[in-house]
Amino acid sequence: MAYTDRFRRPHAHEDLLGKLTDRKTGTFATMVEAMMFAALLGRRRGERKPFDQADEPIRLALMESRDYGEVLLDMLGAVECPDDPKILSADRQPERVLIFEEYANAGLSHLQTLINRQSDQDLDTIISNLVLEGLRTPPLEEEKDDVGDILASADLDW
Amino acid sequence: MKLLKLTLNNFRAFYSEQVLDLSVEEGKPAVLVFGNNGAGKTTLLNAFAWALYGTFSEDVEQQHRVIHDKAWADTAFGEDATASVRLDFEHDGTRFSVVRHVTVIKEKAEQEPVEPELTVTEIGTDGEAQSILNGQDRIEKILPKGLRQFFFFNGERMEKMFSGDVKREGEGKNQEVQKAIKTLLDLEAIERALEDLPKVSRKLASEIDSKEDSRLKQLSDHMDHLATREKEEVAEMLRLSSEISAFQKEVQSIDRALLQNREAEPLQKKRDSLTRRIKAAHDRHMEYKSRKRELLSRHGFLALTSGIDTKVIELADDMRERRQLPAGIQRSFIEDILEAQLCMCGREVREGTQEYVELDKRKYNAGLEDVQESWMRVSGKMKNLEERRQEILEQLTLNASDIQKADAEISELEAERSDVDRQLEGVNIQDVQRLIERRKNYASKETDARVAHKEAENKVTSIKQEAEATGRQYRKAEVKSEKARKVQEQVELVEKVRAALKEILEIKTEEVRDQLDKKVKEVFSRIFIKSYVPELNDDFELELHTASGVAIRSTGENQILGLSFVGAVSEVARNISARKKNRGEATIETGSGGVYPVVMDAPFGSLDLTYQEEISKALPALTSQIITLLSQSQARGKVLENLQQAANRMYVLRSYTPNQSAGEETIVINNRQVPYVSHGDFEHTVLEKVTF
Repeated sequence: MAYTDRFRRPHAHEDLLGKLTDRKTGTFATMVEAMMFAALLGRRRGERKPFDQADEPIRLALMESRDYGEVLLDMLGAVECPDDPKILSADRQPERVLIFEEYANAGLSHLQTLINRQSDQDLDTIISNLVLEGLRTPPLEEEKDDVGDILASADLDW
Repeated sequence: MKLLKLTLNNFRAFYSEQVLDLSVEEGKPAVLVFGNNGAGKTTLLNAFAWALYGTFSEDVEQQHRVIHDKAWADTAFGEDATASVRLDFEHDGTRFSVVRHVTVIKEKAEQEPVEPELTVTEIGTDGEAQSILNGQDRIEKILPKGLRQFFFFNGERMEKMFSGDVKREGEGKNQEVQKAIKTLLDLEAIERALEDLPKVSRKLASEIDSKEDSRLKQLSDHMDHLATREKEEVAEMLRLSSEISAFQKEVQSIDRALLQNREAEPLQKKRDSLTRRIKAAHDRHMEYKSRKRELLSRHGFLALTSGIDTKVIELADDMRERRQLPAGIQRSFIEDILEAQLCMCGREVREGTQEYVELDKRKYNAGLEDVQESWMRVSGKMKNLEERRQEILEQLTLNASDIQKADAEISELEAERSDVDRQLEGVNIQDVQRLIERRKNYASKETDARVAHKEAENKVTSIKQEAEATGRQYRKAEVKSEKARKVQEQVELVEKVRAALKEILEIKTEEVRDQLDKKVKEVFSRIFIKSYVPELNDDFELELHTASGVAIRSTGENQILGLSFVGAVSEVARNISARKKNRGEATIETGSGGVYPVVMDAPFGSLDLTYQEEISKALPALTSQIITLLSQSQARGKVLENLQQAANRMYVLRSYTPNQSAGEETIVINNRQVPYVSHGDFEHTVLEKVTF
């Protein structure tokens, strides 16, 4: 049974992750939290980004000990493969981890873009803006759902 | 005194020579001068007083800059620059020309204070000019400096007429004004006589020597001795008086400094408290910031789950909706049947049939027992997510407003603190102790001087009593020789004259006071509508009474009171002069000794229009010569009409400015546009006669 107890963090975003978790200026207390946020950000934008080069992986247990951290992988997996309920089975955990990693990678890239674009803003502001936007407006996927509805009405299962 | 001509030369705002013809006619006593703000009205007013007394009034800024800026700037280093004011006037039939001028060798770029020089020339009736050596004395005999503020005044500062510098501590009230009025009204001569008569007595007495009458000689010597002692004591009193006022001034200036420093103490405390509060607000700001971070770090990602939760719940529900298969049936088992289109019971399951569809439906759920629990767990967790997101939103909003409040508080407190800092500027807390020490020192010196003054005063009183007693003894002494008897008689006579003169002075002073009082009342009631009554008291102080006592005077009321007083003094002086003429006392028939001109800047100050009109009507009747400086806002409508009717001539202070962005202005006089502000090469003012 394939099983992993760690997730990878993309080497390409090593600097960014360092910045995000800087004791003085970073918004996130831990690398795990930064990755969790990045993953949800990537997911919200519907972007997954594979990567090969990784830095030292992080223990999954760290994520699981957090509020909603224990369902985060499942949650992402479930919405990522809606027609494949087995995605939540124990032996597909590596796949769920990969989904998480790739979303996180995409999320980090997006964050980097935002930081570059709004160099005058501090991290807290950029991130709280993202959070507030997430809380106040429906996700990008709505559009996709519209398409889904059309597809559904056309009796095309997917 | 009748003003004839004022000539300005490079004097402050006035470049080169500017002449103001001041002669007036009977019935047309006014000369009007119109001037823009800053054109030089106050300078012009001060030019009169400067010519006569060599000083500016306190409201003149940059007093040391007497020479016109351009004239000064054009002067090369090492060369002379000069400015002057010449005032020609007539008094008691004699023409005087007073020239006050400064000549400076330019050594620095900036002008520095200089002592102006005075030349007074007298042109007698025979046309012969003669320069007067003690010119300043002569001027002050004609127009005492103590009355300066009544004859050259700024309507906006009229309230100062009866307060401040005219009163001097330790000399009773309004001494200066009282003295000045006496000079003006010729009472001074009597006072001088009173002072001189005892000297006459002693001079007479000194003719007796001890051979003729040792007793009388003894008494006379004693009187001499007493007179010398009195003189010494009086001189000592004067010295002490000036010492007292010097110490007082020191104490006052220390008090002012202390007050500033004392003000600084609570300010310093306030500053400390503000600093503490700013720090606290900063701490709170930091606390909120870290709270925000914690929120974002721990729960931020949850904010991005909207949509995911509903999707997961939807999927889970969907799964539950599909019919369940008994546990243990593998998905691959059904897939095999559907693939083979043949059931394990041997029945055909053809694609498209009801059976096939049903089996296909169930295929989805088949073999999901192992994940079912996960789905239930995940979707269960999703149910609270919306609530959590609301919580986060609320907390973030609250946090944002907390931060904002803290920031607002910080900037408010910082603004307050910088305000305090400004107030604290230039205050040295450590000076306070030193100041208090110095104050104590001067205060005790002042007390000592006061005690000494009182002692001297007592001594003078007892010397006077002794002198009087000695005088009586002298006059009553049995004399031996004929010569001594004669002298004794003469001294007795002088003493009688002195007593009579004293009485006369009292009566005359009271008479003058009474006349002035009546006149002030009359002039005042002409202008003022309230039922207030002005009164000149025994100390020559002007009070304003209502039915219920002394009125509290407003600025406007003070102005009217001041004008009334000026008018009254001038008129009483005129009457006295006229009476003297009738009695043949005045030496020259054309004498104008008792007539005084009034030069006023902004005569209406801040008065209401009603009063402006009344005053403009009353002014021409106040005295025989009025030079009035007006701004455009003061010269309008009815007021201007009244003034013009009384005006003999009019001038405009035309100001030239190189500032091209300043608009050129005109003033309407007699329905004619007269240039008022014009563009020129440099800043200066020109006196232009308005013909009409």
